[in-house]
Amino acid sequence: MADPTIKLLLIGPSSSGKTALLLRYVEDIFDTDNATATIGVDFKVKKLSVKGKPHRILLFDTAGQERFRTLTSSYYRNAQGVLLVEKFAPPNAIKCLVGSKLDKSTSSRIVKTEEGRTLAERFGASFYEVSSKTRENVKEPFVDTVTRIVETPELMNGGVGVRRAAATPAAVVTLNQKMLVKKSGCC
Amino acid sequence: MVDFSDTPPLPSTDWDVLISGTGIKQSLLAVALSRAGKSILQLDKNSYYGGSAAAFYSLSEADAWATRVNNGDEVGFTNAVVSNVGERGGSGRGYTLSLAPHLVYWHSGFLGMLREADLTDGFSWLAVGSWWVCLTEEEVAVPATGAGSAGIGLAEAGVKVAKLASAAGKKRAGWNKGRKKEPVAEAAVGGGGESAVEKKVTGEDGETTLRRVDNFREVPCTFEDVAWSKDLTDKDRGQLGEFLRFVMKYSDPTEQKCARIFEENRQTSLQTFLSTTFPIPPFITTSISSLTLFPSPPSAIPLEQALPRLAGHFTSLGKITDVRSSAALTIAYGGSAELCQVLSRAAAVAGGINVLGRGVTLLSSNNKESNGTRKLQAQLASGETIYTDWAIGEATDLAKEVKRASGKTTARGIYIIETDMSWLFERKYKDEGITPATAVAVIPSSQAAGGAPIYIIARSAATGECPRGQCLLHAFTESSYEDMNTAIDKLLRTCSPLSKILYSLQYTVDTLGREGVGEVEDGAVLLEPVTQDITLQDEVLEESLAIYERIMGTREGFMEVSEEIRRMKEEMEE
Repeated sequence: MADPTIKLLLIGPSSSGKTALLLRYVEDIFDTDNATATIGVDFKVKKLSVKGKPHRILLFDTAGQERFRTLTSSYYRNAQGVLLVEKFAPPNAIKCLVGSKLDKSTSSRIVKTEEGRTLAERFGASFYEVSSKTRENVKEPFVDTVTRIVETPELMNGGVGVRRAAATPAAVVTLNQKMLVKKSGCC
Repeated sequence: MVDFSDTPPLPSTDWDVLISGTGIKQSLLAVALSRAGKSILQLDKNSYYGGSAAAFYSLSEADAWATRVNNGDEVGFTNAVVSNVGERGGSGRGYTLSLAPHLVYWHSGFLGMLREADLTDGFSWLAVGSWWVCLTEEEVAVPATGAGSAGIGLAEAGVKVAKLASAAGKKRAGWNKGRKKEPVAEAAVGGGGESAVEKKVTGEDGETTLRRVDNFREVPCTFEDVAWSKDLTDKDRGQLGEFLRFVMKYSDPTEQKCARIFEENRQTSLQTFLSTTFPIPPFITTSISSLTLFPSPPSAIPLEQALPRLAGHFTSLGKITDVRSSAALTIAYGGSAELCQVLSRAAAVAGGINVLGRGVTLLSSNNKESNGTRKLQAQLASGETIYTDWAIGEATDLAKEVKRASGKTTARGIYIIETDMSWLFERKYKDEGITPATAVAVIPSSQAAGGAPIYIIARSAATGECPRGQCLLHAFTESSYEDMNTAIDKLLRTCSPLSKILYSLQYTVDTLGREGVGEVEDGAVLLEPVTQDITLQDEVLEESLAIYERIMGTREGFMEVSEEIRRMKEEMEE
């Protein structure tokens, strides 16, 4: 059996440090010179052991689409968890509020710790303050969110994408990429 | 007016390619050109993705679109009629009404391209089940009239095989046997396709595999269907079997006889061809014609248009793992509307920028003295001016005038039904692992009237487009709204006589003029007006490829994931 797969989204305003957090968590990179809006792949994969059992975490970044508010509704589909800095997430998913750039001085902070915590409580989310620069708290929001997903059976039992009636596993056709036939050129 | 005050300005005024619109072709090109390294700005005048392939995520959104149609603000659409029969709470969320609930054939170039482009994982693919045609006993009783002049020498054999099958209660895979096997197909069915079919039929204890509910009869597609149909005589079985073989062979250059018959009959209507060359009863012609999904009667479909569609259907049949009775797939959550969104995200992942609610208001040659070297300049609804070497879009999205052409109009309707109409979606074979989420019902107009058939694409709650216990019916026809309503009624009466239509949206699709399409004027490329095909046709892909070639100088690398990204992905999975 393949390891269980969990889809996590990162959302939040432009330049809130989503990609930096993602890259620090998955690859332990922090690159101030190369702050591109995209990571060039649809998602990053991170193997994570939860309660001794390996899990495959797919981490989706916004690809810069939040900038012009053009994030597609398809982006949110089948997500089991969301790490966000704004109060917006699919129903039923586990939410986690992350305050980023903890390394900045206290005076330049936009969100005060207490405000963040209150907001998180209101939406049943966890709250973390992190710094991708110093690595402070980088792992915790991911590990906590995944752990809470694993502890929620309806999110794990194929009930992925519980939005409305949702496609049931018995209806979904798997297009295995390995069946792919190499053709020369197209058509 | 859209308020732009709180949306940021564009990151640049200088682009390689401006793509106006977020329809299928536009989004496909946005991905292909972004992946090829071009700087891409993809705009849409609407605040939503998809254009004429959009989906509305609540009934209120659909209502608002209908109002725009009736105000003349949606080019190509007219006469929207909304009716709320049932009760409706609030804005009617929980529904996805798609203008493009497309079917995608397994063997289509489009699906092949998506797989190569590493894009199929972004969707939930659902199976399309059977075709059901409404035929009365009287219609079925009308016998074949033609003498059968074709004689490609297989009719006799076909009858024999069919008889054998009937007598023994066991199917010989005659039709499948005679067919060329592609290694691809074998891999897809896991190698066990044919034997699985055989096992099933014998296991059925001589029961027919061709289903029927009242007057709705499943279209015989497979040889076993043909062999078991209670509506066919042995002679009909032979002729139909032979016609199916002809469909598989007509484009094969080694099959000279078939190729010759095809060449001689290119312009012959499907109806005439089937009543003379392979004389089968008229009701079977109606059934077979429904597989083409052309909204015209079989007397108005030339053979050269019908055969590629039929061949596409039959070559796709039996190839989909776990659901061998299916030939096509559809995308959950809105069909091609979802496709447009996933493609737009893929373009963003590859570095493109997409902006909604900002259309092109004027496109002209660049005054090069002051504004760099780009060939074109475009003014946007936001007041911004940008410069670009290429601008791609439908005429209306590039601020060009569009005229209605004199061609036929298509009536379309989306109906929300308060019951799930479950028999339409039942698995054909008990051992199939997948339940179809879509089925096709066809109500032909009476033979005498010679009118256009009404197609109904039913989508179950498994598409995520309506609440559980309900379903959606998408109808399309060259006939009238009234005929469309009558057809829906007929299906409802058969399925569940007491169930109501909770909501319906009807609209008319015009044929748009092709003035200027394909010409390149200073880098401005006008796309073909969108057709209202219910299948995702390879023409869409071909047009996109041609434009890609014009811009890149080659078709190589279309939609290809760069080596670097591919390696990155492989490393991640280790």
